Amino acid sequence: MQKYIITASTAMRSKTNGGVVYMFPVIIMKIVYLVPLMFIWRTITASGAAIEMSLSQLLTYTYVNALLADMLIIQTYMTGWDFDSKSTAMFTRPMSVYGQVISRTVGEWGPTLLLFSLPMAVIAPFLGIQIIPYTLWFIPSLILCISLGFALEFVFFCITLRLRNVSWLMHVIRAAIISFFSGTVIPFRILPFGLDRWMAYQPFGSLGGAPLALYVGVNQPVRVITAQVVWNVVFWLIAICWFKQSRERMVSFGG
Amino acid sequence: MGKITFKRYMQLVGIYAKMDFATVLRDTKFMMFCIVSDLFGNISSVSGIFLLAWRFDGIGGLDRYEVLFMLAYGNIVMGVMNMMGGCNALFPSRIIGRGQWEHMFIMPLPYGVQMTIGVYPFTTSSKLVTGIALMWFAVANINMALPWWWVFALIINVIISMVIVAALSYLVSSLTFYAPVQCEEISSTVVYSAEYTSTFPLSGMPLYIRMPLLSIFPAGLLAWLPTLIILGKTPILTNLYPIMFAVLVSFAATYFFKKGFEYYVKKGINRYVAGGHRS
Repeated sequence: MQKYIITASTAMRSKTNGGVVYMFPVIIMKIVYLVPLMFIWRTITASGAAIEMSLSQLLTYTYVNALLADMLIIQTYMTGWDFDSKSTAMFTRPMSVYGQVISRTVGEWGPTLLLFSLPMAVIAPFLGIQIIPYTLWFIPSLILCISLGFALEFVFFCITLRLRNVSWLMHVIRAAIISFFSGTVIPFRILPFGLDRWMAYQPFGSLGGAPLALYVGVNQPVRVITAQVVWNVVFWLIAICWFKQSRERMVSFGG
Repeated sequence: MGKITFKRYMQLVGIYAKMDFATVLRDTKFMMFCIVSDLFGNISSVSGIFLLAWRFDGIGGLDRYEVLFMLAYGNIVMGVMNMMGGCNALFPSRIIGRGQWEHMFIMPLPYGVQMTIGVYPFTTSSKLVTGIALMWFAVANINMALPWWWVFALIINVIISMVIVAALSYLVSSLTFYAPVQCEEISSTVVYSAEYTSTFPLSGMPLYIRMPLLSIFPAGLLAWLPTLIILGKTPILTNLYPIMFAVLVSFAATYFFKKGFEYYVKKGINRYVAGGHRS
């Protein structure tokens, strides 16, 4: 276990090796993403439109999504931009590939959580944001969301390998599809055409949108967690079997 | 590095376009899969805001098809830039940060030509195609008669928005001359963030939110304000703001990029020392 903790710690330090100051652009960008969307909710509710979520719920949803973004949509270096052999290097170390990917990714969350999420959580009440979760079922749901996120990472990595390592294309498509189908940006509950009825049950719906829905209390814990457990079982089985078959197709071009 | 004629420039662009077409022909089935996937990715990335606009019959004074027009405009701007950015022209910090800026010294072509001839019209035009298709759909359904000159206004505003994106990218890339490793991806961070933020309609937002998004981080100039201008929803003086901003940010980018380059020429880069390359 210690080797994974050390890997996580190394990954965390790698984010700030050049100095904490280089984290600021990322933090500023997170705030730039957050503010306009929060004001869109204010604009929509101020227009008097009938809406299934209160302004307070919408603001909390968006705010908590920004705070926990790295956990709600998992992104590892495998599917990030794997052109410089980082993924092949996993096989040169005496550690499990799954363990390396998970510990490294978790470690990389550290600086953002400390420098962005924690201060933002502290000031939330002063901004009028309800930061206390509606139900504690949010916690198991978040754990299942993270677990499913890692399974999907391995699945996407296998797809990339099968598509001759077109990592950039996969990165862009994956980001675009997941941002919509995960429900992290726009809550399923307010989608038109009755889309909310089935969006929550497609696999990506068990990612960020699921714990966020429980956080603000707009979905039933039993429904959400059941769907998450089912998709976890399905996608971990696919991930493990497919990764075993695909890993010998890995190619590195250098950077 | 001598100057080249326009004819030679177009020949070089043609060579890149030909290479791009050869990529499609080499494995057409595979490339079609990639292009179609890219199209779906583009549509998916604008779906959220459009569905919101649909659900609430518009956002902050823009009706649903005006919001779609805005999303289409943003796609056209970034689509053209993607198509012309084959040589990382839009992301100079990558070139500098990877120690590739020196490679350009020995090429018998001016920097500007080297940067802009990488046009890939076949494999990287899906965003532009998405933008044109969405705009066609928006214009066909929009609840107002557009003036006859709207296409000209569109072209001029797209060019201005492109100048703003490029200038912004070069402005922040000047930092890479001082910190090549840390700032290698600074231009892509800024450009992609501006692209994402430009999908939000700023109508109805308070002035203290709108102003920074039209000046410090000008995402509002990449889609929202040009849309209002083309749809004739702004006062005449406001119509001049994007071009004035484009000129100012271009001057700033030129000044700071040259300054950074002078520093770089004296100090060099650590990417050529042992262990200095990306690892």
